[in-house]
Amino acid sequence: MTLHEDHIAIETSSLTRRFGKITAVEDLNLKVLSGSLFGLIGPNGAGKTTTLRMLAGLLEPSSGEITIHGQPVNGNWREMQRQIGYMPDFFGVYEDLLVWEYLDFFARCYDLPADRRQRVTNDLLELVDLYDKREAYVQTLSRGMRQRLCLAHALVHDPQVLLLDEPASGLDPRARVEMRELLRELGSMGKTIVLSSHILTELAELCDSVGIIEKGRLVASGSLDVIRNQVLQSRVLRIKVLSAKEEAQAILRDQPGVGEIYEQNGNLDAGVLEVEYVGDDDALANLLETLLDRKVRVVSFSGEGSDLEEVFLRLTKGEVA
Amino acid sequence: MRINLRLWQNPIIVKEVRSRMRGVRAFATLTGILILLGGISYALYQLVLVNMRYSSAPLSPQIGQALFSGLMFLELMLVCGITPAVTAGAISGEQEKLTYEMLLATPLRPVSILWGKLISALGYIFLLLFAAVPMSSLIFIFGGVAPRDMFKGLLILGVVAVMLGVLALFMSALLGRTGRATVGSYVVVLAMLFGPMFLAVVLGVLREVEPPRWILVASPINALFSAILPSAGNSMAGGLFWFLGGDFWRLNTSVISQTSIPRPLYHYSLPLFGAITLVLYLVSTRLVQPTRRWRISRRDGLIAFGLVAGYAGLVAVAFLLTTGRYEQNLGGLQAFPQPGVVQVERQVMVAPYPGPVLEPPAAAANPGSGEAGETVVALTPTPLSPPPTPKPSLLIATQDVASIYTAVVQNVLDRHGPLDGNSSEEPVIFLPSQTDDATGDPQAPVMESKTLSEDVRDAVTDLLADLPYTFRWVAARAQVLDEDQQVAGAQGLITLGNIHMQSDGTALVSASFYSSPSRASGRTYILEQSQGVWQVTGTTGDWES
Repeated sequence: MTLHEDHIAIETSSLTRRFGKITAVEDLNLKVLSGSLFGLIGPNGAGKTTTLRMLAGLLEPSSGEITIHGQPVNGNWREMQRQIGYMPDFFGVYEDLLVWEYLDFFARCYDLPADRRQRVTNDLLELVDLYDKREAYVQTLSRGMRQRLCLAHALVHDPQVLLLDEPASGLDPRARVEMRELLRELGSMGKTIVLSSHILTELAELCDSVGIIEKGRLVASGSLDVIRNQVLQSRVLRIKVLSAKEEAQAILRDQPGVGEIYEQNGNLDAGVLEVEYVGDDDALANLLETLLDRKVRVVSFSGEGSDLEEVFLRLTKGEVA
Repeated sequence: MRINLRLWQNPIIVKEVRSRMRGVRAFATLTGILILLGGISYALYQLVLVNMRYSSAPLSPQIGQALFSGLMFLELMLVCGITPAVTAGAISGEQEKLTYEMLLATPLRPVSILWGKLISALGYIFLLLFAAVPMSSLIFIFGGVAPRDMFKGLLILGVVAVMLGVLALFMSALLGRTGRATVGSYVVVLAMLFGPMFLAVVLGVLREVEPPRWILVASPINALFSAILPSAGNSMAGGLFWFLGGDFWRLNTSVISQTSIPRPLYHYSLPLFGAITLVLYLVSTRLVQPTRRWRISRRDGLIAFGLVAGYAGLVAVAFLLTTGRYEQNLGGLQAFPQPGVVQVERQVMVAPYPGPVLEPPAAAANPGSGEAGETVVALTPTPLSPPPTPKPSLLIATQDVASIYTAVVQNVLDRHGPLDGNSSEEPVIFLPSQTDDATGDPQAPVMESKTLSEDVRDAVTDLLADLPYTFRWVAARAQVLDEDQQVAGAQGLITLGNIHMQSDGTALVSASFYSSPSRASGRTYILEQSQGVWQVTGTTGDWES
């Protein structure tokens, strides 16, 4: 095993899952580095949960392969499950069970010996800040507490890989911050964490790399900065000119990096040109200069918003809805 | 398919027990059920007392038997009512609460989940059942119930509980919704409980023949009562229990016939229940798999096949081992493992209740066939069998029959004191030569009326010659009654019943005295033989008018 392979915690090749005629995940090639916080972003129904369930061994791929820590999962996912902690997006809690018993139950499921069970239970309750609620009934916990308890349950066997499906959904801002802190702490403990979300900002502050998934396909993947650059270099310019629209279009077409040009004819945006453009900010400044040099009367010149939401919307085009 | 036998290592059991036995609920349920059982037992007790006030003095065993059958029925209903409710949500509940995924993501095997759910649910049911045992043992204060029958009853309850638990678990895994699984389970339970009886009655009425017995095999009620029948008694709703025990088909036929005791119904029901349990459990182990449900590995397939084959073998062996006791073939090789099954001139009469009983031989033979000098009427065990040594007391010679009837007649007369007739002549007593078992204790065994042979009649008259009465045999009781139902031309009429030999060597004979509708009495005599002479050692079921 080379050093390189050692660094890859999860790798999928041509992972595909079909439910009848619907293809939920298609030809997914994913690489998650060991120790990284990987965010899986996509609109609802894009295939995030299906992917995570396959990684957790709960769903069999229709085709393709999953490799965890260099070992192919196919066939021995029972063994693999010991290396993985999984927290589903929707989960229930058992009624009439105390908080510590809840963790104790899952510790038993992983065959932990009695002394270690007790220690792990207490440590985890400390970690997720529920130690005071040790003797409370699980059903009396708030949503945020349950979410943290569920996270703790995925940690009882000290897995190296954590799969968290929408860990922050349904949480209020405060609980969300707490969850984020918790994940950071886990990340600093060297665990590989894969989490999914349809809220990009949530991941942007937390993840060091992301994969954007839409209609079952991986649209983009890599570290956050790379993706941002990759995506933002291709942008749509809105240029409003007062006259000589044809001339302006001709000039623009000659410039490098300019793609399609659309002319808007509505009342409000008469004279507005939407230009597909690839290039960095420097090139953009040059483009404006050229236009002005050629005596085109430019009223406004703007690139579209450059935040991650924009990246996301652009990439996914909302086709899944 | 590894089954985790070390129970406390199965996390599901720990969890289920923790949450189920927590708080007031489990305690309250248990208390409620015991109070219910206690209350109903008391009501039954009162009912039996009231019931008996109109027939005879209450007999303690009859109370015990009534309580026993009532309690057993009630516990069966409890098992049928509670078990599906406890297990129907086992798998579907996890799926509905969205916890199933979390379980499957752990190394816990789905089969362990199934097993843990089953054990914890059954543990709860058995707790309820066994909690009722000390209370049911009150029955033994009254008597009339063999502990063996109580164990048999509990065994059937246990097997039914396991079957219904697995059934509801199967429904839960199959249907995936607790509501549907509950409804589905109860529909099946009700169909099993009452369907066979309904079918049997409908068939019986429509075709006007005895419905085939196997219809009732699937019903837990019939299975339970066939197992406890000897101790269930027939004091209360005797006919009902008879029916419930699957025995009704014996009504007018002589299935108790010639050479065999029929196998009790539960001998068929238990293997059936076991087979249902095994198959449903095996199917459920596949239903709970998240992936590759029906792609059964060769190893799992072999294990399943081995279990089914082993079970079938076990049942077959059990049937073979007990076959000597039941279902002997006509004229085939026969052994007599039980005393009391004796062939009387190729006709063995074995009454079903309460144990093997021998028909008076005199009644069995053709009245005319008894030739002079033939003292032993019916003694030969089956010729084909290796001759076992039958108990001497089971062989009835004419002199024994005569001795028994003489003792009975003496006792009847002793009970009524000196009968004075015309001072010049000895009082006359008529003796109908037709036997009638209906004149004694209603609990006593009953068989068809027979005609006593001439040998027996003469021998009895001889033995009674010392008494200050004149005995005259008459063909039938009706011929000596006048229009006022008075006995004409005599002091009275003594009707004798058949001789029912018991396996312990005693004999039961019913007999009554009748002189007018306002002067009649009867009882059943228990006789024992000592030094060649039969003596009355006890009586049951006294009545008088």
